[in-house]
Amino acid sequence: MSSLQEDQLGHELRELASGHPFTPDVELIARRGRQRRRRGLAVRGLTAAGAAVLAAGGLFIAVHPVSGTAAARGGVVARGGAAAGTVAGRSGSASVAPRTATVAYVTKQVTAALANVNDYILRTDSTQAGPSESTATNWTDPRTSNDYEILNDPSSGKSIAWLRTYLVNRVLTWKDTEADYSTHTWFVSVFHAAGPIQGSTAGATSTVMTPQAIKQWLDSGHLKVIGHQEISGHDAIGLRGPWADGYRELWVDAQTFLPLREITADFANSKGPLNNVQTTADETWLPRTSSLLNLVNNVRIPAGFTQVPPA
Amino acid sequence: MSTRDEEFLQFIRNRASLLHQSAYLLCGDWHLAHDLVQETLVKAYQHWPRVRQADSPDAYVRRILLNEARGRWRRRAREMPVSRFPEEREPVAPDATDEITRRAGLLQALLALPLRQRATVILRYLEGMSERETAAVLGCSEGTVKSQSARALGTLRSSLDREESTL
Repeated sequence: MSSLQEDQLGHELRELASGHPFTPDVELIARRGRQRRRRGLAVRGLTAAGAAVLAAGGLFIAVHPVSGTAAARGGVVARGGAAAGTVAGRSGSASVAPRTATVAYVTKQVTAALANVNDYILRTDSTQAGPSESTATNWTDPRTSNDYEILNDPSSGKSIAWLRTYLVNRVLTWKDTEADYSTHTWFVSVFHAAGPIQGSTAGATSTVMTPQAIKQWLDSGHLKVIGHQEISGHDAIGLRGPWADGYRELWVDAQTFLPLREITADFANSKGPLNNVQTTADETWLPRTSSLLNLVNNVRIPAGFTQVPPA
Repeated sequence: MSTRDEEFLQFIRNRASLLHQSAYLLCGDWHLAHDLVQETLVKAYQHWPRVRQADSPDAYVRRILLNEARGRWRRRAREMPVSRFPEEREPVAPDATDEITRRAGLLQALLALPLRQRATVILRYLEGMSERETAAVLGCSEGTVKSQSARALGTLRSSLDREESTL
C-alpha cells in the first residue's frame, strides 16, 4: 500500500468513525474512580489494622495475662510503640530479644502476644506514599470489623466513609456509605468477595484483620529478620515477608514484642517501572466508650449533602 | 471541583472523541465503544497521579483502552458463539453509493483483523501516531509495529479488492 493509499485509509477511517459525538460523563467517571480508590484504601486500611490488632493482643497479655479491662478504665492505652512499651515495661513480664534474634524466636514471641482484642476500638493513622499520596484515620471495632474512615486526598479532597462487613450466604460482603466533601454528595454501595468463605464474620476478615491472619503471616515460613532500628526511642526488630503483591514490614519492640510500625508496600497496580504504594500505619488502642462505638457504628451524613446512586 | 478533577477534565476534553472513535473501530459497535471509553476513563481517573506522571499519558490511556477491549473481547467470546458475533455489530444502513459500501466493507475487513493488527492500524492511521508512539502503546518494538502494520494493510487491501470485484 503506497503512502497515498495510506493517507486515503486514514481519511476513510476518520469518516467511518465520525458522526457519533461523544461527551464523557465526567461526574460519573470521577465518582466511580473515587469509589474504586476508596475500596482499595479501605482494604489497605484494614490490612494495616491487622498489625494493630496484634499490638492489642500483645498489650492485653502484658497488662492482663488472664483477662481484664484495665485498658478500658485507663483511657488511651497505647499510642504506637511508645506507650505500649511503657505499659508492658511496668508489667515486668517482657523479655528482651537477643541482638541476633532468629525469625523463629521473634515469631514465637509475637505470636504469643496474640490475644483477645475485643475490648478495644482501634484507631489507625495511616499515610500512603507513592503515586497517589493520601492520609487516612480509621476507627475500627475488632468485634464486628465495622470501620469509620476520614480520608484526606490532596488531589480529590476530604471524604468520610463507614464500612460494614458481614456475610451473605457465607460470602463476605461490605456495605460502604461514603460522603464526599468535594461534591457534597453521598452514596451507599454494597460489594462482596468473589466466593464463599468459612467461618463467622469476624473470622471472615482473617485475611486482613484478625490475629489469626497475622499469625498465618508469621507462620508462612517466608519471613526474615531485617535488622534493628530505633523507633520512638525503642529498639525495634524488623520482620519482612510477602504480603499480597508486595511485602509487609513489621517492626516490633525488642522488649515487649509489640508492633511499633507497620509498612505495607503494594505493587499490585504497578506497570512498567515499579510503582511502590507504601502505607505506614500508627496505632492507638482506645477503650470501647459509647461515643467511640457511636462514631464507628452510626452513619452520620453531614447536613446539606445530596444522596446520589452508587457508581 | 478539585484540582484533580480539573486536571483530568482538561486532559480528556480534547481526547475523548478520538478515544471513542478508536474504540468503535476496535469493536464495531457504538454502544460497546461508549462503555469501553467510559471504563477507560474511570480507570484513568482512578490512577490519575500515575497516568499524569507517565512518560506519555496519551499512550497510557490508550493502553488502558486496548486492555479493556481485549478483556471485553475475551468475555464476549465466552458469552456467545463466534458465528453469532457479526449480528451484534452496529447495522450499517444500506446506501447506493459505492463510497458507503466501500466503507462498510472497510469496517468488516478491519474487524476481521486480529486485535493487535487492528489496533496498529487504528493508532497509526486514525490517530496518526508514529511507529515509536504506537510501539509504546502496544508494548512492542517498532519493528513489530512495522510488520503488524504491513500484514494488516495487506489483508485490508486484499479484502477490499475482493469486495470491489464483487460489486
